[in-house]
Amino acid sequence: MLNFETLLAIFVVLYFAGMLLIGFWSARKVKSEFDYLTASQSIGGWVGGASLAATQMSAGTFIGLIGIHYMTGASWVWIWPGLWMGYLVTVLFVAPRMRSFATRAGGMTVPDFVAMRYNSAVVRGIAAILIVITYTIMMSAQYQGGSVMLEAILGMPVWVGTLLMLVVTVSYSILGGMRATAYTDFIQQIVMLVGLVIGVPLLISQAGGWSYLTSVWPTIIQPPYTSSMYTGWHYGMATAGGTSIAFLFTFAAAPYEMNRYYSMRDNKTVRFAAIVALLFQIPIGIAGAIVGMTLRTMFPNLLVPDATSTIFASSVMPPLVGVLVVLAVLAAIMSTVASIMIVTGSALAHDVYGKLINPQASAETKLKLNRWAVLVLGILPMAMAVRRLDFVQFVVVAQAAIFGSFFFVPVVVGMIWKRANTAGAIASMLGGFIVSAGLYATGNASLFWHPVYPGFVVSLVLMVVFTLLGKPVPEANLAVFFRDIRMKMKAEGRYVDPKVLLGETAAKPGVAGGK
Amino acid sequence: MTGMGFPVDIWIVWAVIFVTSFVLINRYYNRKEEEFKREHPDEEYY
Repeated sequence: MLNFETLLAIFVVLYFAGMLLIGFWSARKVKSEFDYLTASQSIGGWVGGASLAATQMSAGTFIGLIGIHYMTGASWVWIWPGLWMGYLVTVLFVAPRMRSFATRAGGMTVPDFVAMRYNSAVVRGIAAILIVITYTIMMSAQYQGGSVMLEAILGMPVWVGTLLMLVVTVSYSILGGMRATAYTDFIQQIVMLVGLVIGVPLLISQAGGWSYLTSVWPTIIQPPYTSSMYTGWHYGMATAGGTSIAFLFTFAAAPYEMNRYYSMRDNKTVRFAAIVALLFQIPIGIAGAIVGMTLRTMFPNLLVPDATSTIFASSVMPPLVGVLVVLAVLAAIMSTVASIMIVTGSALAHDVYGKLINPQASAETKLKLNRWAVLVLGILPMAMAVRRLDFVQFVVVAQAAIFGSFFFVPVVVGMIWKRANTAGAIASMLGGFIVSAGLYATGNASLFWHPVYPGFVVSLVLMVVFTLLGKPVPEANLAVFFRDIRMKMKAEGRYVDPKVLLGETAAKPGVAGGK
Repeated sequence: MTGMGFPVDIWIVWAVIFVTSFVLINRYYNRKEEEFKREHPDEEYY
């Protein structure tokens, strides 16, 4: 009979090989930058939806979330409704417009989207740079989560575990781009679901059964409280609700999710994919809470909450199920890392270099640069991961709050309020980022309840004030996103082909309209 | 979140509310988009 470590090593190798095969298969279909970044808009609802969910589920879910529930009990479940509201906002206002923008104008990245909406290369540059900064922090949390687990189970040094995940994930992302990440996400999402669906009932039974657990949980006391808050409000509405709102703002305009909308077949598929994502998240979300809280009753004295999933996989489950759980964690990490790398890589290669520095670069050069950027931006967060910034879940929440503070307003408000203009978008992004990132950087994250509140308010106020002071965006740009303006311009013979406009917008800011 | 037990009940309520709203929104916009395309075959809804 094979022991846990041997079984795990065999399955990890098989799993990594499977992911690389998908990378090679996808690479054969990549002929251009558009293929690489949007999978030629060929992704269906099930794969697209699983990919949305897999991208959202990261080390934050399988390591951080379980750890937080272990430590503090049930109240953290309140983060989920905010996240789902974020999907709702995006389905209503953002996702179908993005997909149509990709078809109509050849848009490939999220900075493409905001550059076209606000007719500005400056908006493109700021969006690209802030996306790279914020996602680099997020990536470090992913590497940290995975390496903590591999270190604990296989005794691997942190840097070896990180490097191993990096090599496989970077390889399939570089090879197959969006298509490879979508299909690997699909497989990885199924692995996550199966791991928990088999693991959770076994865990409950080993812990003494559901009735026993529900009688023990209300007696657990977690400092700083002196009475049990374990099934009550350990985190009150200000913190749990604030985090929920941070996730709402983030997932309504999260670039790593938005890029997926570009890749889907049509608008029906985009909307269906959001339902599929929910169907994966609903069971996995509650399972994470049950696993964390159940392990608290079995191992009450773990010092590092991030180690909870490792204990679950290696010490509680039968070897084969334990292996499946470890694979599920690796799947969650790799799917998020791959999606982020496509977004940050394209932000540097497509937006900063291809649109701002050298708009004359050939399609072949841009594709090559996208792949190099993925490699460089994949390696960069390793340094932070080895230093371990904080508990994984807190790093993920910080990234969500920062994103929600600087990107929700320009993206979502920009799709609702036609008047929103370039000056408003620039002020809104910079203001939101400086306030929320500043609060974290100076150790004042708990002021104003949660950094997302002041970040969002500043971003919104600056958008309104600067918009009222600034010049309107040319109608030609608005016509790409607003049907009434488009139809009016077509009737008047003033409509500009958005594909021409997208190139013009990037190369010569401010001269896009009226050509 | 009363402090008396695990919030499975809340979870089920959320699941029903969100899945139902997503399905209804889906149906509403799919229908609106199809109607629009019938009336304006050369124009996109978004």
